[in-house]
Amino acid sequence: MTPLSIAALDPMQISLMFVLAAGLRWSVDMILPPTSSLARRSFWSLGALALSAVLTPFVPFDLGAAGGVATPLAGVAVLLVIGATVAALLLATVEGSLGDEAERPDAEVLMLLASAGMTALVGAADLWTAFIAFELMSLPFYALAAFRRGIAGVEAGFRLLLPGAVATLLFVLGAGTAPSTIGLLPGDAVAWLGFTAILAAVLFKAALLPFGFWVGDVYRGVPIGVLGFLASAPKFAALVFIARLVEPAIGRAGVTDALAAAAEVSMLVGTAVALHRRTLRGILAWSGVAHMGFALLILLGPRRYWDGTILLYGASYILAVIASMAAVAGFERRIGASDLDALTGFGRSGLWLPIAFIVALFSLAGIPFLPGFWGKFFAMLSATRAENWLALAVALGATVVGLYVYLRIVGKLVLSDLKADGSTGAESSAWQRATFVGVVAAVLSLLVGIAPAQLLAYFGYELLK
Amino acid sequence: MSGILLSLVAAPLAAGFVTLPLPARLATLARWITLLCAVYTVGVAGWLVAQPGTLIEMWPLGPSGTWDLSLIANGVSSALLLLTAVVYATAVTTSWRRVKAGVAPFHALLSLLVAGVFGVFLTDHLLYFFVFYELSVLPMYLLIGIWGSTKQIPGEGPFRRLFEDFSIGTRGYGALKLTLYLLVGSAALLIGIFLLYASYERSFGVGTFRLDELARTPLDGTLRLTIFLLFYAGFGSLAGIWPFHTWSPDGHAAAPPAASMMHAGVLMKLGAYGVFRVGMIALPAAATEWGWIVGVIAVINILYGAFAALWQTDVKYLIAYSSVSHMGVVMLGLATLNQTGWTGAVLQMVAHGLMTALFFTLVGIVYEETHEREIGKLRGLGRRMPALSVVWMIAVLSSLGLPGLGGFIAELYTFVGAWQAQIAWAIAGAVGAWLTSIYLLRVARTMLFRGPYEGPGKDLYGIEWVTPIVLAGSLILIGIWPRLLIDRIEPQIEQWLRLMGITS
Repeated sequence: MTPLSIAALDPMQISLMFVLAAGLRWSVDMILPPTSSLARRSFWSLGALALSAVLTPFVPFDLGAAGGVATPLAGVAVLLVIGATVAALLLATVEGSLGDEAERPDAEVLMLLASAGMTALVGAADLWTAFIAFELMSLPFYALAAFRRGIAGVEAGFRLLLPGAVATLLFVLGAGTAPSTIGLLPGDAVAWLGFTAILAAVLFKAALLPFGFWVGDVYRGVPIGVLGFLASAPKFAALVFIARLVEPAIGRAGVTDALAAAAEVSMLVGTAVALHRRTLRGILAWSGVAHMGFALLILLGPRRYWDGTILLYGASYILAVIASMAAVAGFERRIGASDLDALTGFGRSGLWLPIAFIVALFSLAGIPFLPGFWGKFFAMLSATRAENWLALAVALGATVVGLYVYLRIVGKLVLSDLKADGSTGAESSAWQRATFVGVVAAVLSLLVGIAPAQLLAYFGYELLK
Repeated sequence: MSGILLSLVAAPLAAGFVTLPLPARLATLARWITLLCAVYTVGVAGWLVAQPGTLIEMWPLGPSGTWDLSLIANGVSSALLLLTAVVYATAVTTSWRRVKAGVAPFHALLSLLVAGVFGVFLTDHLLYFFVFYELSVLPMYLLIGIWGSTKQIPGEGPFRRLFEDFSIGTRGYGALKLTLYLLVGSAALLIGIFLLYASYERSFGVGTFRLDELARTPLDGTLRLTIFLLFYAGFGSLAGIWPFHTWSPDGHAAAPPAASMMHAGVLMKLGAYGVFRVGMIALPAAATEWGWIVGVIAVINILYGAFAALWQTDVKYLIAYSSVSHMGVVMLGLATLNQTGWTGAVLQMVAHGLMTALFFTLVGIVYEETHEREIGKLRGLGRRMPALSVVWMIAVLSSLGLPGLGGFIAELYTFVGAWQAQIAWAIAGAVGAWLTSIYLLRVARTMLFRGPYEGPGKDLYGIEWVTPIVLAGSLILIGIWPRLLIDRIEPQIEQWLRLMGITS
């Protein structure tokens, strides 16, 4: 089988596709009766996306010519964003996942717009295009995060907006001083400062320490359907943008050291904080920081393996996050909580969603035959190839402690007898939809884990020489 | 490429996924599916042992040859495959009446674990080796954590708080301790794999995971020692090498009988096989230079395990410590780096796998029937359970090395090999064998032949006969016809020794 052409995934064209889809989706809202069900609305969102995918090639102008580049590396992010968007739209069908029962037809429009921003970011040729994309990817989330009614929603939106504003400031500062073409190295000290400012701004979005500190607050308050999206696609769009920024600077001690330091701090602190969290949201927030630290290790290794490894890591992480978020959505609807003690014995209730959740946790923990293992393996192999022993040691330590973090949840789920009476209640449609999303993500995880290299080869990416 | 080797991995994997979702009312179906699968694997592994030569299959799992899943059945792996298949089948028959809750997931996990074990014994691709290794280790966490037995040890003395905080003795404690030990071991393995692979890639410009290729990697002194120690400690922690053995007694005591059988009978062998196949054969220079470390620690294992067993009052802990001691014999055989010693080590893996599985079955039955594990309270059990006592004595006699039973021929080869390599090791090993006879016979005397037993207890009946007959029968078969295995094992060992440059 010949590799699928990555050139077909011109990021700017895909960005256009998402904008088109958002527009279509919005127009549909004007036709749909306001009482139409969540499932029907979600069906329309996916339909709009499919329709715009067909229509985009016929758009008479080429956005790519207006400041975009298409590379295999950008293709990685595009693939991941498309996958995460579809998953997020499915997750949005779970009742209550977007805050409350109120009709939120605009949520999916905002999600599609954010996806347009992400793909434009990874395809931007110059910093000002990138800046607009950066804002397009961020702004919808401020609104989405605040969808929950009441003070909790306002709080979550505010907690996301505040670091977001700082990131915007840093990006503007950087875009004014660094060379405006992405892929050129700064010439003088001021330009280097700007370059660093942009790097810092993107680290915010990738939820990497020292700038990813906002995750704890935001994860606690954001509606779960939004969180599934926020926790997956933007992080990897940001990571690929970081990769494009630092690509010409490979081998420069300062840049590599800065990336290594960010990766090490993220893995260490992320795992350590996750160890002390008692709610699923808290654990997923901080272990997510650690995961991005692992993913950043890839950029320390040889350039040749970046694309394939990022795609593998991203796919494994996104699948696991979507399944986990579906589980959290289900638990919150069914038993009204998602802290560890409330889940005691739930894995033995004979329901499929906890089983899918366990698969996702095993994948996050890096247990073999699940894609999370392969992702971690090749990320750490990158550190080994770069002979960065400190990063490798930190990664291993974080893996072992991380195993405990995830196995503890599995232990809570299966090692004690069920005490909550949640399993006896009738299965609500929210639970069934969450189960559908979770099981699909878990099954895909299992499939990806069998022969990941073969799968990547179909897209033209490699992991090994 | 007939697919027969792949089926060894695929059949239990499929059995696992088929049985997992079965509802409780189809429990018997889950048992039958697993048993049929196990019998199939016994048939295939038996055929492989009877077949001379080496069978190789390559399954493409990626875009280039580096990703091919290589499955190889040679003399040594065939013998270990047969051991695994036999223990798998008997673990199912042992659980037939004993596991009552969660039957389907129990058998599914058992099958997944076995699929991993088959994979490790078959592949010579280091990455898949590790992947299968993990697959075989992790289900144990759930097997012990969910179906295990709890006997909380009341804290006393200065460490009372610690005992209570960790609930030492409970199944949760046993499962977590075992898993964490083995996962730290896996982390060591990962570093070893990274270092070895990256060194090869740097030297030759392309990567490979094939063990025979990796053996050619030029490594300087420190790196060689580092990688060797990482593999030795990583795999060795599963083989129960001192001082990383302490998970073994706690884990085995808490595990349900079938899990103990798999763990002591097969998984500990997996650790030893990892040290053997990866730590030694794939690192020939390091093995010849630093093999003595393995020998010294093996001697500590033999003596320490035996002494610890002497003081146990809980019969499960006794068997667990005797496993630590017997695994020392395996490691001692490996440390000899000669034909006789290595043959002995492989024979000991098979013989000990069979007899320890037998012991844990019997202990499990005794515990289920009497709800008692204290040796002192089981006095005179022989009158109540005569059939079980006969089988128990067969296991004891094989364990202490009586000629005519499997344990004898294995220890004979190992100690002769050790004598050729380092006389002191052979003497220490013989002392260990002597200590073994002391603690095993003493316990047998107390438990089976002393005093009237008053408590409950029902002798072997029905399907429970299958496990003891198969396992004890195999021990007798190896004891009286050892050439059956030796003829298969020796040529492969000769080939490996030539490959390593130890013999010409």
